[in-house]
Amino acid sequence: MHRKFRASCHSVILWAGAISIISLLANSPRCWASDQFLSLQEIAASNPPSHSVDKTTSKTDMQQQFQQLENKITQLQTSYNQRLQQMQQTIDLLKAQISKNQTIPTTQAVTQKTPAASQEDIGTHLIFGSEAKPQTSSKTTATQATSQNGDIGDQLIFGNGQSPQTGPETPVQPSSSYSINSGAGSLLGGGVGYNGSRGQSFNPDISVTGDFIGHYGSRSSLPSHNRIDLRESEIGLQAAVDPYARATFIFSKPSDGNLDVEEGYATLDTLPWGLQVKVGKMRSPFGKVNVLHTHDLPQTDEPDVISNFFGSDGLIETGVSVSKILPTPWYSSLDVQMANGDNNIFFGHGRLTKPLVVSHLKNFFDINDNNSLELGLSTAVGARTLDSGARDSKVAGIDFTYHWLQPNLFHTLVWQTELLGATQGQPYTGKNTLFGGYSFVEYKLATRWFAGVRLDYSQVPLLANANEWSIAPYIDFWESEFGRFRLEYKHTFGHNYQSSDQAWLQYSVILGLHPPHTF
Amino acid sequence: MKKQFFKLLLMPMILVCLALCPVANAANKIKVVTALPDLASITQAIGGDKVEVFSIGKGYQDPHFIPPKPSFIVKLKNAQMLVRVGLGLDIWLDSLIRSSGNPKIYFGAPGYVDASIGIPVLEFPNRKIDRSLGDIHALGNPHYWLDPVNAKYISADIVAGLKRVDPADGAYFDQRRMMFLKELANKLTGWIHQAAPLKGVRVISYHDSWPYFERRFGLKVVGFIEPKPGIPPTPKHTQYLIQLVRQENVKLIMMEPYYLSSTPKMIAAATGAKVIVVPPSVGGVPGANDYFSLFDTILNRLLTNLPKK
Ligand SMILES: [Zn+2]
Repeated sequence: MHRKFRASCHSVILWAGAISIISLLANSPRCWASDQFLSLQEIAASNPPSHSVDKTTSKTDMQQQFQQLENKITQLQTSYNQRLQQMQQTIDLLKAQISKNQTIPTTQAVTQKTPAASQEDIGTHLIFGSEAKPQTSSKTTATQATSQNGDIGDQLIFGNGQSPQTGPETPVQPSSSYSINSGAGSLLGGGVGYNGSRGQSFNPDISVTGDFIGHYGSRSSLPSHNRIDLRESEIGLQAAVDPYARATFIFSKPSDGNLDVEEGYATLDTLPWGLQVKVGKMRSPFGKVNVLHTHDLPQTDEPDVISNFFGSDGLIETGVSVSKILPTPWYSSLDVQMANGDNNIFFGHGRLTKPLVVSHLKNFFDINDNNSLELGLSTAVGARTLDSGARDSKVAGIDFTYHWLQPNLFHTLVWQTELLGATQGQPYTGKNTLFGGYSFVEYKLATRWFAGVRLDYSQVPLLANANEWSIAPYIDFWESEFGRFRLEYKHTFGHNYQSSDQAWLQYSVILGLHPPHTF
Repeated sequence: MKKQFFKLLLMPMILVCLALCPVANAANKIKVVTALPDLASITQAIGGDKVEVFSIGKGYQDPHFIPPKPSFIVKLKNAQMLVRVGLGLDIWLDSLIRSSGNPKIYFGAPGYVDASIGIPVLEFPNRKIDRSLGDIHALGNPHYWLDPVNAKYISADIVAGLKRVDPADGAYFDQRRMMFLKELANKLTGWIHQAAPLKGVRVISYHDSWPYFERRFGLKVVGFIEPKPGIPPTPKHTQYLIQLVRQENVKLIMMEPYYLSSTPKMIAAATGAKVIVVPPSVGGVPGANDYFSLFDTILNRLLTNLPKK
């Protein structure tokens, strides 16, 4: 049974590896570049469409066009500078008036200067600008449409004062009470916004997270026992490598350890057949909780079964993973990781001669818009190295998550359960079979407030007949999307193991860019 | 031994089958996924029967916080084109796009359309900002579809995308865009005349969703229930608003359908102003079924609740 299982697992890895290598070879970057990606110029030329330069024109024509464009740019620059100066003058004027305690002449500025002629058909005027009204004939031919389209774009981009800001509409009013919105910022409006929002830098997205906890209780084995600790500081960097790959690096420093690379991997996500290949050190795709970083955990502490089976950091392994969304009507994805097997609770062989293979099959079903179910299966198969040679360990898991979301998210409910079973390779006595699981329910009480309770059961590896039960109610207050307070109490009943009472007060903060929480 | 060999072959064969299995394409329509129903409505108007459009966000949901359900990944995986709002409104899309494993709709690919390209953006912060000012609208106000005039830029971006995906039907899309814009122009003339009584009317809105609408139709939004974009109301700010409502003689409190009505109602009770639910997106309330009827609905709700002078 084990042998068959191992054989099929190994064949999966071998074939997955072979498929990804073949696909890499078969699709050289050159081919991708031409097929799937436009050059920057092409994007610039085609979006908005009216930019597009006729490619059939001769060289002299193009040079002329180039010359014209350059002239227009100079014109635009001068007029832009003039407008800037005018605005600056207006601002100075306003400031002077404010300091003289005069009322701001907003009413003057708001006065409509709509040309009387266009009042009748102001919609057309606003949509199509000052140019001739569009043909009322309903059989506009394709060429007419295109050329007109081109004219609109031309007018909008190179237009003579008919740009949307200076059109016959109300001038921009500083309409909000926020300091960021008032003043010259909103006056300058679109142009600056457009360029500024796309300020070019190839620096990666940076995020920093801090996880502060205060712990009080009777479990002295914890590093934060009866202390206030910066339990973990984490720096995350993420960026596209090139059009074919992106990379993520996450450095973390636990309060009781050294700064280390928690994760560092590249993702090839433009491979054929929708395959995604990750190379490097990563949280292994096992179940729901193992893939979360410490500050993202649904409760302050990991479920007992996860920390007992995989250690307090979870199962983090270096290797290669291949994932694919399966062609099913519902969401179903398969993720298979082949890794060294460094985690030394169940594995620890650390060599590819007997690799650790972790796989996760995730299925997600929408019952309706407000209710959904997720069902997952996970396995981890690897070897331990012992005096008597390598022995196999296996861990299997099933996860079940139910989500209820009120349409406007005033209230939500999550019920998540994971059950794990394992056989641990032992030196002399054959196999040691272990079992554990957790289940929690979390309810959103009100905007920013959540409450939940988690039940745990776990047998303890390497200790025969030792197990622990625990119950942990908790309450969350999200001061914003980027800051969360949490109070958790946990009572543990140990059987041949330590019983304890503990409480945590946790405050987690996130700086910089952080992807929204996964569903 | 033979059985083993068979098993060795079986798994990769299943994998290859799954990989090659083509998803049955429904009638060769271009599958377009949009971030919000407003973009879906415009895309449908332009694409006609050549497109099949699905919107991830619904009009009754807060567009800043759409739950990124894995079922949307399936939609994105099978899409040829994606139309997003951009300007940081729909950052919840980013992880979905990457998870889809569909390079046709990745950033910079032909099927990727950012509808904010070309929009004259309002409220762009021209100085350094940080999250002490709230965590959204960092790239300027992203609620730009609420000015019908901006539909000309949105539709230009969409047509450009459709032409990249399906160059053969370029003329068809151009023609339909012109038809759409002409109808819009007609409607807009009506709306602007209809909105004449709104000129200068002072209102409070829950969120800063309305600067584009305000600028077009002459309302004056003097304050927001949210102290900062994305930050829920605080008692202190609510007290300030009650004062402001009295001072500025505000008669209407506009509320997007996805917010809690408790604070607006409290302010209304204290001041006599009226709370009205106004949909900022197609599908936000019954009747706002497409981009045109959205403006009909908004204007109707504002005008019918306008206090008689
Ligand atoms: Zn907003």
